Amino acid sequence: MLVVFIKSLAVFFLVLIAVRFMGKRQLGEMQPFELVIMLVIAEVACIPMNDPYIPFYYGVIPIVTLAVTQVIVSFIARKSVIVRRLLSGRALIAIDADGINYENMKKMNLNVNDLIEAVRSAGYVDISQIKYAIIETNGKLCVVEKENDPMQPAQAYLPLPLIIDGKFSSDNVKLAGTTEPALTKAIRKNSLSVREVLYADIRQDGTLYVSPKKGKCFTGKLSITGGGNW
Amino acid sequence: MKKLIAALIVLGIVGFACVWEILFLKNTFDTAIEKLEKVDDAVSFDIENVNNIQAMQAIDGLTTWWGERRMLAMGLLNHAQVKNIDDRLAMIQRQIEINAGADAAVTVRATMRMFEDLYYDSYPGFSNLF
Repeated sequence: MLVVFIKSLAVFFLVLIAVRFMGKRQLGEMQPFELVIMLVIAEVACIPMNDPYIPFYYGVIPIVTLAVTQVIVSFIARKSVIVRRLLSGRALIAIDADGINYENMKKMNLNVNDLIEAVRSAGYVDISQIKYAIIETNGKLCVVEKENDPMQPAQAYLPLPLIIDGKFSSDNVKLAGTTEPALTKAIRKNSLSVREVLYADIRQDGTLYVSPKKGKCFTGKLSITGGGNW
Repeated sequence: MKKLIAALIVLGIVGFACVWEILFLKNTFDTAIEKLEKVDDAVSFDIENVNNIQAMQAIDGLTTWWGERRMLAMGLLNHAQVKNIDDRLAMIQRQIEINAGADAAVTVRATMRMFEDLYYDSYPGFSNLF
């Protein structure tokens, strides 16, 4: 028991030194490969603690090697844009002036629900109010709002998604007080089919926002029953 | 820059330690195999009477040498492997003492093979990288 206790203490201090050596960034916003290194260090730190019959260096060498390699790789990444891109990828624009950028979404392996969730978590309920949304290499979302007329009072609407990835959200269509044929007709006015729509939502005042998979986003009006009570 | 230099120094120390370990284990296992070959020669010379002086001296020499190296080996190898070596050497010694020539010959050959495998495991190779 004492052996395990001493090894655990030694591992604790070793991991602490390794994490501090790698830099405070490890504790804050991590790039994907940094997260992987932290997870692996946590895993190998358990090896000498759990098994008293293996040499202590079976845990020390992997931790030291990973920490040291991470410092060297970070230094190289600081000097080389190509290496940085290989390791961390690039920030990509998820929403631009044309609406949701479907191609970049595919590159990032994101679906519309992920994007809506990220946008809401960033404090923006209405996608149509966003001029640009950039997804950083660490997964965080950065939003630039559209300029609003300061003389106009801001309306508080909760957009209700009606179409996601080319498919109707039937419950929301019913909740919004409209029908799928009416929605299809509104979309066809812009020479689009429902399948070509990446995302469409409606506000309580009947304003429809549509972001197609290809082409620019647009808004329209849709008559709704029920007074927009959602 | 200081951190990079420190990292490279640590990497150098780790590399040096790895090379030292391989050389130490190579030396240890080569010596063990050499001493086992002496035991094998002594046992094979007269398999009906293996508890002769040459065989006894050879195995005593091997076990004494292993006793001196054992603690350092425990620090570098899995303890189960060290205990396995202890058991085999004890087995060879006993088999020679009770004149079990055939058993002693087999155990000596198997132990030599085991030391060769331990040596192959100590450096990067096909058997342990894939």
